[in-house]
Amino acid sequence: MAQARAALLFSVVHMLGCEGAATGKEEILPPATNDRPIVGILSQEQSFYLHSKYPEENYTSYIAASYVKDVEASGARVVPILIGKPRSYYEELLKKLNGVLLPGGATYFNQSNGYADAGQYIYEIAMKMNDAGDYFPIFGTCLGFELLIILASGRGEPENRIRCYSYSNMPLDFTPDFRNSKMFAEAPDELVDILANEEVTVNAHQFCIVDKNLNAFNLTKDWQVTSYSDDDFDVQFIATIEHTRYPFYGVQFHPEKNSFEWKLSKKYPHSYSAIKANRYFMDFFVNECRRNVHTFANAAEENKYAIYNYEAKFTGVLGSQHHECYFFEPRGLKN
Amino acid sequence: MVKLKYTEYTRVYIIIEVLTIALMWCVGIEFASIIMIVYLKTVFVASAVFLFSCCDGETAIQSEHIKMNERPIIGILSQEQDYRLKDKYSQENFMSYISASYVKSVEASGARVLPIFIGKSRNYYKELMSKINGVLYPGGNTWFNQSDGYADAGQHIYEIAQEFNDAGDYFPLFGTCLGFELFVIMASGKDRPENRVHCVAIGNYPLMFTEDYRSSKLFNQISKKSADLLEKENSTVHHHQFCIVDENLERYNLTKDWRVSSHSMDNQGKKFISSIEHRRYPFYGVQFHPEKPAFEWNKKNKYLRSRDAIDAQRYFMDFFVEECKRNSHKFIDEKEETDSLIYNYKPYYTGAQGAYFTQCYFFEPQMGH
Repeated sequence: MAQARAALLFSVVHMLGCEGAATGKEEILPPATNDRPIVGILSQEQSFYLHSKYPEENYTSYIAASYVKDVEASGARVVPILIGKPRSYYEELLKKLNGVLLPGGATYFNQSNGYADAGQYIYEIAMKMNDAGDYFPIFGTCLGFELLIILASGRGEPENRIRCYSYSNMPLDFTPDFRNSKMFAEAPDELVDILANEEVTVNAHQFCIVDKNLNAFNLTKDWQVTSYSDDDFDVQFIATIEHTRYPFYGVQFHPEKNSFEWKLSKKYPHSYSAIKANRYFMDFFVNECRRNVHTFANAAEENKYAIYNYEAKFTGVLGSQHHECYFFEPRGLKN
Repeated sequence: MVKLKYTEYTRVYIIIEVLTIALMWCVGIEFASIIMIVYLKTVFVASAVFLFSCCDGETAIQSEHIKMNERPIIGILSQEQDYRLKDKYSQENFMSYISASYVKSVEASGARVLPIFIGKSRNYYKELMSKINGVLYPGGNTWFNQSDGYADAGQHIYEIAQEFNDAGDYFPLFGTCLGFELFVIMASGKDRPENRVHCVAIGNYPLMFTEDYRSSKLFNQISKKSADLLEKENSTVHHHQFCIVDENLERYNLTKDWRVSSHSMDNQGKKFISSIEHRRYPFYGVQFHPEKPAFEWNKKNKYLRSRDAIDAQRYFMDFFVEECKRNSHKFIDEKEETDSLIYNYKPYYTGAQGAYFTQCYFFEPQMGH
């Protein structure tokens, strides 16, 4: 009798448990077991300003070191991804990487063979991998976030983003159901409080994605907005977003700057609470990448691709907004 | 914010006052009496507000006193070129090195780094320390009885930091592994036999916290989650053949000045001190390597690298950088600052050569010596 009752109780609890799982949009995530994750960071067209500082080298592309440091600080290694390569280059590389970060910057999307084209390859390849059950995360910061939405909109003209002016440190205005997202489901209350109430997220963008951009291209089904901020003229823009099916995430602000960028005039918040709250984003993303099990063929191949082969230049001393930068593929002086 | 509060208070006060006057008038109190009552009350309230705001101001000044320096710069002491690296860079014959993982873990907590060289005069260290906000003594492999090396530089820095603190100038030090051992040896007196014991501590161990570890400066703010992880899992990375044990402290009567907050157990079951702090000075030491799990990738070494583990390890540099934010030293100008920072040096990819460290900074090549 007691056994039967226990069995009944057990099955009821079990059914309740199942129901709980079914009501949430919880899918079964691969476990975060890869404790040697390697994250690719997409480079972008050499900035106009930095080109003027290194005219003779005439570099093809660059990555601000703050992105590299931010990923490393969350327990991953970094491989730079170059621009202007054929699709096969990105296909081969993504098979060895555990995720890709699309950094912010100032390039335009209608240039060929640049950041946007490479980003599009990566986006399409990652979708294909995920469709095949191979969990492959992407994180877009600032320009990278905008690119994700523009790629989802089909990259037509006019570009699906609006002009805005946002150069302030802002809090996040979370949506009512932000906890029902992958990015914030497990965020500690302490950090959510900081993000919601303190001016700790660094904004530096002249384009914004607003609700009507999502509505115009029917993107609200695939993309969940989790927070907003206001620009310097009180235009409400989307600050954090994620794809509802793919592990694709975007933030309009710069979580990497608080710890690693030091340009005095920019007034980046360096307080402990600002640093703690902002590093949540790469902690989250790197943990997503731990769910992917891609590897390089061997240690030698890994070594060949690692960012450690490149040296960061001290660009802060040259007046750049970036403290340090990596530069790639010098073209030299053209005749 | 405060202004808004005062206007709100004032508005409420005026409303109440008007109502009171109306009430008094209704009840039939004489006009002269009403004026007298209102006058006295206003004087009373005004003086109360004055006193209140006065005290408010005083607390504000007090918190200003520990106004945090949000642009801290931390010196990391270099050390004699590692014998394992010497062979790989025999041509350059570098004088000293710093493993990049220390630099990265300080940066990740929101500070910038500058290298401190060995073999310099006391004046060099004093001058430099008057411009920076704290010093990290990294781990490593050098011996303490070599002259003009890590130990001598460490001694200068230790003594200068004591002078600063004695003069009310808050100057924190943090020692990792060898740096921690050096603190205890310096505190024991430099001319006495080295106050540490041999041990075999190559592995990842949990921390065995002391009963009152929560009231230590080092662990006062740690989250329960991180403390639990450090206590229950093989989380802290050890790589040392010397240990400081309780007897080392007792033998030199150091328990008065130094407070132990945790122990760990070496491969042979020997219990050694794994974290310590000075009771009066902001000096902290850990025998393990909080910088390795996030930043060192040699395949031979297995570390606990889960999200929670990485978060628990960075507590230590977070804590230290916060301590350094209480110091307000700075360089004369931006140029002097940028010229001194570590970003003027480029780390070598030593990991590709199979070295123990993934990346290292090297200093002062002695070509042809």
